[in-house]
This record gives sequence, C-alpha cells and structure tokens, in this order.
Amino acid sequence: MNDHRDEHGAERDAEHDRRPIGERISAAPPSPLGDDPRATRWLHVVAIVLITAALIGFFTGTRGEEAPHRREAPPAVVVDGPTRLAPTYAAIRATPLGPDRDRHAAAIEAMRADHPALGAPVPPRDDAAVRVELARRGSLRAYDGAPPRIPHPIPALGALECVVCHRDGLRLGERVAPPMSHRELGSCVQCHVPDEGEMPGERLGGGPPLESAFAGRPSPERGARAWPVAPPQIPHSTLMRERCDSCHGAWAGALRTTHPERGSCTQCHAPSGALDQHPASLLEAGPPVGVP
Amino acid sequence: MQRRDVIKGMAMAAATAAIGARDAVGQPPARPAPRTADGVAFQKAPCRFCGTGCHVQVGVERGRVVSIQGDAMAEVNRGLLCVKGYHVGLALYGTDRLTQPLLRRGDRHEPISWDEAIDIVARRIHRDPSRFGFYISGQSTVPEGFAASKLVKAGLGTNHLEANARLCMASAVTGFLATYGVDEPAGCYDDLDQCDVLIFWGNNPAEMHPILFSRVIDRRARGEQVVLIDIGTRRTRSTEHCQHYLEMRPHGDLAIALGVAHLLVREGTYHREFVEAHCAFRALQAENPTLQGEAIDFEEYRRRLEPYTPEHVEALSGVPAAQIRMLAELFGNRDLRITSLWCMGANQHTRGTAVNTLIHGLHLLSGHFGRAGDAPTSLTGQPSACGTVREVGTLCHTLPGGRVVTNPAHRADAEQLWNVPEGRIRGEIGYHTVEMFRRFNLPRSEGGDIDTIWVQVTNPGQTMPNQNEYFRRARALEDKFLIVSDVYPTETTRAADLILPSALWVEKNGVYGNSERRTQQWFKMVDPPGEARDDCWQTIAVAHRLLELGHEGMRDRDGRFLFHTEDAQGREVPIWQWSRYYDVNVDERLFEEYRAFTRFKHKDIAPYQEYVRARGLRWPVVEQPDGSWRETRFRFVEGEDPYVEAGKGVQFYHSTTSDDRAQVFFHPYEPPPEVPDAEYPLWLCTGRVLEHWHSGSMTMRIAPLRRAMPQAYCEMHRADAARLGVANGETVIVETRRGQMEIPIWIDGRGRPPEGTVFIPFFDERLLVNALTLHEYDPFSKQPDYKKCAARVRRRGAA
Repeated sequence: MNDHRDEHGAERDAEHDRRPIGERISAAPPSPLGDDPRATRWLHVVAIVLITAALIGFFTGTRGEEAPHRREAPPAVVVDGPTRLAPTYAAIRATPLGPDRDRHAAAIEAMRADHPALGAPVPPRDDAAVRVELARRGSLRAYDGAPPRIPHPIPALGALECVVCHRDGLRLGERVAPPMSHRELGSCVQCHVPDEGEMPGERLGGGPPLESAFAGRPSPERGARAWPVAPPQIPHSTLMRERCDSCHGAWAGALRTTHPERGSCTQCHAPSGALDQHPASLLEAGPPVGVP
Repeated sequence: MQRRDVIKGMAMAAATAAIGARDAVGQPPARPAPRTADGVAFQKAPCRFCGTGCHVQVGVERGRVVSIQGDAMAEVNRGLLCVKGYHVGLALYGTDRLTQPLLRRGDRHEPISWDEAIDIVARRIHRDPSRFGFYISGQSTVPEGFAASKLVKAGLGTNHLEANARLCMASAVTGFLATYGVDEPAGCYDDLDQCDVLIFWGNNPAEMHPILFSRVIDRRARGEQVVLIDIGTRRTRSTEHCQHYLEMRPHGDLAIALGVAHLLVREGTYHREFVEAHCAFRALQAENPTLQGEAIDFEEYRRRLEPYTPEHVEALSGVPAAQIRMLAELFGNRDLRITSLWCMGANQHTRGTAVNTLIHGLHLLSGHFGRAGDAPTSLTGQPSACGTVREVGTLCHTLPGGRVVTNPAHRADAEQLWNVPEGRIRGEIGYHTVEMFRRFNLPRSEGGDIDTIWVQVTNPGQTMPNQNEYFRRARALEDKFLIVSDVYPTETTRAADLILPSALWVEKNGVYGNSERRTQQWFKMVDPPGEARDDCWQTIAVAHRLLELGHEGMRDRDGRFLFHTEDAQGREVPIWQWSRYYDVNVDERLFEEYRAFTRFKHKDIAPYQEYVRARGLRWPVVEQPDGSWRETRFRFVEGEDPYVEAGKGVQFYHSTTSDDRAQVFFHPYEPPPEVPDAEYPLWLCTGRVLEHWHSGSMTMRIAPLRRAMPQAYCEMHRADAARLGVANGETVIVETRRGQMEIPIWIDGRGRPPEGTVFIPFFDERLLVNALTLHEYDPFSKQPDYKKCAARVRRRGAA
C-alpha cells in the first residue's frame, strides 16, 4: 500500500523579507505514464474504487428496498455452505473487471489524458526539495497560516475574477494557478494583496523603517506519526485550508501527496483540535453567551 | 511529539503559571489558561485596527507574538480576517519603537527617566489646569478613557478632554441623539445577514470594513440575492460589487435623501402605521437652531419636502431622477429588508448631523426599522470610538454613560459615583478638538489660552485638518508644551516637547467597544519593549504626582487618592508605581467602577469577568433570573430589547419628547462651504485604503501592507489629466487655499473619481494631505469635513 511520506509543513527562510520578486507560479511535475509499474498499481487502485463503489451501491440499494419491511421479524439466517465474507482489498484487486471492462479501461485512459498528474509517479520525499518549496511558500507569507500574497499584478480597483484561474487550479502549459485552499469567498483582495503593489510614477524614499523584528511562526516540516508507518497528523491549522489538494494535490511539487486519488484526507490524517480552535481548546468552553 | 515540543510545552506552562501567580497577588486568578498548540499559546483579542471589532487569536511563543488566527468563535468575523487583521501582530515589531521618555532640548529629543517625565507633565498641568487639554483617542481602551475622564472632569475640574473620534464620528452621535435621544445604532451586524437591499451612503466597506463587506458578499456566493447600492462621489472597490451606483456631487447625499422622502410622501408609499405610532416630525428653528430643533406637523414636513422632486434632486446631486425613483420604490416596498451603512462620507461633512438624521428619517418614514435586516447603521473607523469615546464620554461636553456636563443632575450623579465633592465637575463645556488645537496654535495674547496638550494614542500632526493653521503654528510659539504618548515616531512626536513611550495592544490589558455596541476584553500577552508603559498607568501616575504636588482635586470626598485601589486584604496598592501596576487588574477595577455609570441611558454592561469568557457582548447586557447575562441585538424592539415594555412593539424609550417617539427631521439642502471655482476648479476628497490604517504609524511599518500599498497618490480622471497635460505617474502640485503638496497622479487607480474630482489618501506621513484640507465643521457635531474642498493641480515648473 501507499505510505504517507508527503505530509509536510513548511520551514520558512527567516530572511524571507529580502526575497526577490517575480513570477512564482509553480511548474507542474513532469508526468509521463509510460510502463512504470506504479501505473499498473494505480490501475488497481482505480479498480478498487470502482468495485467498492459498486458494492456500496448494491448494498445500499438492497437496504433501501428492505426499509418497508422493517417491522417484520427478521428471518432466521440460514447459511448454505461457508459464510460469505466481504472480500479483502487484495481479493478485489485481483478480481478481473466485469463485462464492461473495455469501457472502464477507455475511461481510465481518457482520465489520464486529461489529468496526467494523477497517474504520475511520485518520487520519495526529498527533504531538500521540501525545504526549497517551504521557503518559496514562506516568502509569500508572514507566518504559517497568513494569507499568501499575490505574486503577480492585479487590477488596482480590485480583482473580481481571481476565481476564474484559482477555483480549480487552471493549468496553462507548465504553469498552474494554485487552487484556493478554502471555500469560495467573494472578496479575495480583502485578504490577499499583491506582494508588490504597482502604481505609476517614481517611488518616494524615506518614511518609517520597513525592517521588522517580527519573526513569524514557520510552517512545521512534518506531522507526527503514532508509529512509523501510521498516517501522519496534519501539523498545521486547517482553518481556511480545508482543501488539502490546494497545496498537496496532484499539481503540487515537493509537497505533493503520494496518493492524490484519495479525496477524503482527514479520514486518515487527523487535524489538530488545538490548532483548529476546537471549542474544547479555547479559553472558555461552550458556546458564546447571550443571544437567545 | 518531539523532544523539542515537550520542552516548549514545559516552558509555556511555566510562563502561564508565572502570569497566574502575578495576578494572584491582588485577586483570585481570573485569567483562563491559553489554548496551547505546538508550543504557541493562543489567546483572544479584538483586532487593533478598525471599528468592525473582529476577534483574533494571538499566538505567543517565548514572549513574542508569532502568529495570528481569525477567531472562529467570534460572531463578528467567524474565523475570517482582512489583510490588516492577519498582519496585526507585526504592528508591535517595527524597529523604531519608542522605548524611553524623551524630552526636547533645543533641536534634540534626549532620554530622561520616567520619574522626571511624570513630574514634568504634572507640573505643566498643575500650574494652571484650565489651560491644559487632554486629547485622547478612539483607540484608547475603555479603562484608559475612563481614567482620563476621571482625571480631567472629577480631578482637575475642567472639561478640556477630547478624543480624535470627534474627527470621525461626532456627526453620527448628533444624528442618533437628535433622532432617538440616545447614541449608537439600534441594529447590529446581524442585519447584514438578513437584508435584501444594502445601501452604502458615501461608504467603501470593501476597503474600510472588509469583514462586514465580505459577510454580505459571501451571501451571494451561497446563492442568496442581495441588492447592493453605492451612493458615492467616486468609484471604489465596493462599487465593483454593486448593482447600482449613484454618483453624486459633494453634498448630493442631502438632496438624495430629501428626494426619496419627497417621493415616499407624495406617492403615499411611506409606512403610515409605523409613522403614526412611533414618529414625530422636526426641523431646525429659523433662529438659534438647536440639535433637537422644533416640532413640525406632517403637513409642514410634506410642504417642506415639496421642492425636492426627482428632477430637482438630479439638478442638485447629479444623480439621474430615475435612480432617485428606483431608491424610493425600494424604500416604499415593505416586503424588502433594507439596511443602510455609512461612515466618513456622511460624518465628515459640514452638514453631517443633517445627513445622519435624514438617513434615519428615511428608515423611520418607510418603516424599514426594527426587523432583522431593516436598519440604519453607522459604522465607526476606530476600534473603540464607540466604547471609549461615545460610551465612556471622553468629549468636552460629556460624562460617562451618556451624561452631559451642562446638566446639573448629571454632574451630581457623576460626583456621587466618583465619590468626589459636590461642585467638582464644571458645568461649562470645554473646548472641542478643533477649538482646542486652534487655541493651542494661537499666542496667549490672541486668545490662545490652551498652552499644554497631552496627546495619547493618536496622531493629530497628521490628521488635524488645515495642518498649517491648526497644528504647526504652535511649534513657533512661546510657552506651548506638547506631550505625546505613542509607540512609534510620528508627525506628532516630532513636534512634541515630551515623548512618552507607550505599550501597544496585547502589551497591556484592554477593553474596546465596536460599531455594534459590542464590548470586548483582552489580557496582556507580551511585555512592551524597553521602558514603554501603559497609557492608563501614565494617566494614574500623573494624577498621583499632582496629588503629591498638592492638587486637592486628586482626592475624593474621603481624602483618598482619586484612583485609590486596594488588594484583597484591603491594603492600598500603589498602582502609580509601575512595578506594582499589575499587582491588581487595574482594567477590571476601572471597568467595574465605570459599570455603575452605564445603566442611566440603558447602556448596561456586564461584570468584567463575563467579557473574559465572551467574544464581546452587545449592550444593553442584562442579568437574567438564572444569573446569566443576555446581550441585545436590536434596540427599541420588543422581545429583543429588555427595556421595551410588553405590547409596545417598538418603543423609543429615550425619545427627546418623552413620548416614545423618534424624530423624523427635515433639513434643507445646503451647498458645501467651499466649492470649486475658476481659481480652484477641482473637488479634493481624502480618505483611506484597505492596506493602511489611518495615519499609517503602524501599517506603514508592516512590510506586507506597505509593499502592497507603498505610498500615497492622487487619483484623477483621465479627461482632467488630458486637459492639464499630466501623464499617469507624473508628480504634480496639488494646492488649495491652505496648503500645497507634490504627489504623483494615478489614473484608473485604486479608486476612480469622476471628472472634476481628485482623491488623496491620508495614510502617508511623507505626503500630508491635511495641509490642504478644510477646517470647517458641522455646527452641531463640530466634526470637520475632510471630504470636500476646492483644489487645483498644476505641473511642476508651471506657474
């Protein structure tokens, strides 16, 4: 099975305020599918998903039909021969596709063509590359959890069209507009400001010093594991970061997950109640007082 | 968990224990443990910037702020912040924090000790308290404001106490007082979740109150329908989200409100039942007008509105008659919920009281009042303009809790509560802000009878209008002494004779009150740098030094120090000594003292400890039979406001006519005091931008904000630029009758003024637009108008 080597936080270059400015839209990793054995394994994963979905559908459907009969006494269970148990994942993987296997295969091929990164091989965690990526991210944030600044010019009057590129991570050639990490909010420029605001004319010198003694909390490098191969916990707050694929998705570089096909991240990777302001972790437990 | 984390956790626990132990000296530890995550201790605090009143979670590690989160429990912002809020922690860490008292000697500011500094302040005051003005702020905390008020009014026996909120919301106050007889909005931010129509009257919340703006915009993202209408003098980021934009000429807001009222009355679409049950009509007296005006009947009101046909309003305001009719149709439709928001556009207005009352009048006349989503709501620009200035009453005519110095009963009441001798509080109104600074900038022989001003938590050197006359002249005058408490060097500290370094935000305990009557508390989390100390301590230390110098006003009826404080064992705690100041929670003591003042105008606040638990509570906060405390969302509405009698529905229980009615005012249209002419052909408007907060003393030191908005600029319409032969980005000379400046032109910039208008933000200390602005003010609120005056632009080198 896949391991979970990809959960990183960020270690930020403490000197980030002196960063160079420029285009920082990430390049997508190269994504040849080729004859890599991982591709085969990936096919198995898809097969598992499909078969599981079919099984769920089957049982859900049956249960639905049973509902009207719930009041009747359950019939005695009569078993002929050995008890049928749920198939193991290994068994499912080994099960050949059904009569529509050709259509499945074609669909999988089409999906690969549309989203090459989905099937791309994921190299093992490269700590150096992770640090480079975390430093890049840190250069656009005052501290872990701060809204990233915008590394490109925007219309001065305000950008209403951010979501055109950033809703799902528009890809243009090698460039990807990072998909937003949170639910869609309408006033993007209230939190995200250009890293270097543009206005015409000469820049005035002087004024208050711009240096700061602030040292923001850097992003953590990796999440804690309960035992060596356990799924790592999420080491950062997930507030405004409920879409994991924004930073760990198939398009991402060094922070990319090894298993982008799995959509329910927090099923295995637990967020921190303290970082996420779980009510029990707050100053005073319980709901706000006052309003009836 | 790694070893590193364990060590960090232990360090945090030790630090927390230390804080608890210190509190325990004077009282039981009433401070909950912080939420600790991976070695960072998070606690709540209201944001330091605008009047929205978001809560942030401040992350502290090893005695320094390292992280900020939006507070998920806060009803105001629900976990979200704006770019200023996310970077508020950086405000503490500019490299040029003021860290020691500095006294001017010749052209230099030289370090002195705190003892010397406090002595100098006390002696300047002591030699003649009537010539001393204390000028504080809508960023002062509630206890700071209360201590300042007690020092000046109950101690010195003068009323020369003012706050910079005079410059930002005084007209909102007079609008509320004239209409309802009591200050502050009846509605709250919950209205923003319910309204079908939201009208901005000269307001740009997308930049100035971003969380409130996005609260509405995000409703659209969820598929809800909200009609947004912008009435303004220039296109802004808010306009971009609006279905309707009514571009008006300056003072057009008066005409528009009159035009809508005209149509509501003429078409009979006003809400007859609501008006008959709950309203009365008023207008100013022909001679010696007062804020309360005089009663007129409905027929007279109708008659006075008659000239304001849509066509006439179009001629006055520049807004097409069809748009006036559209507004009137919306107001005439009871099926809609309509909320109005306004801030500086309506308040910084020489007819600010009139505009405010006219907007309230529209909501009353049309019955768009008292249901969730139906509300006229004024916003404030500072985090405690409401809490400290309006509620505590740190103005030259007010006393805490909505009392006024001119009323003998109010004075007696305050003397009783403060336990000071009868007659201590003077009945004469002191000098309002513009007047205080005018007199400070005049020689004694010409009526300049204010010779010492102590400025706390504000920057009049950048924000007073008509700077050359109202701030800079004093520097050349004999025997004027300016004392400034601040955290960074500013235009004001540069002019100061004595600079006192202050603690900032979470470097001290505090209480703020936001725009929706929400009182918010926070604890000190980190130490101030160097010798910087709390403003409230500074006030108390000066009071005690005055006592030592023999000022009898510093004693109460029992001969005790005005700020006498005891520990749990009944022993006096010398809180005037800095080393002992945090032996007790002085904030809590002052807050509890202030509480007794708040019930008079039904602005009841709860005990301090209730605010420790909450993310703010909206007053009146009233104790329930089960001992819990219940806040109030909608005032004057039965079932919501505990002071409305059963069966009344809506009851304006502070009515100026004592009959539970609100006053619908008529004010005629009047032109601005200075309008463009052949010599000065352009309108000059000033204001703010998203990234910077007011005079920029904090935000200009926060790199992400400064980099996004590096400097001030002059917005100009393309056609004006073409006519003047000015290129985009060209540095030009902008001048008015009062001053001039060189500044680059930005065409199609952050805002888009129409032809004939230029706009300059005031945040940049290098480009001081207030050398150009007008000092004219509203006759009732005394609030100056920064939004309109006549200017001209010429190229450098041109005559």
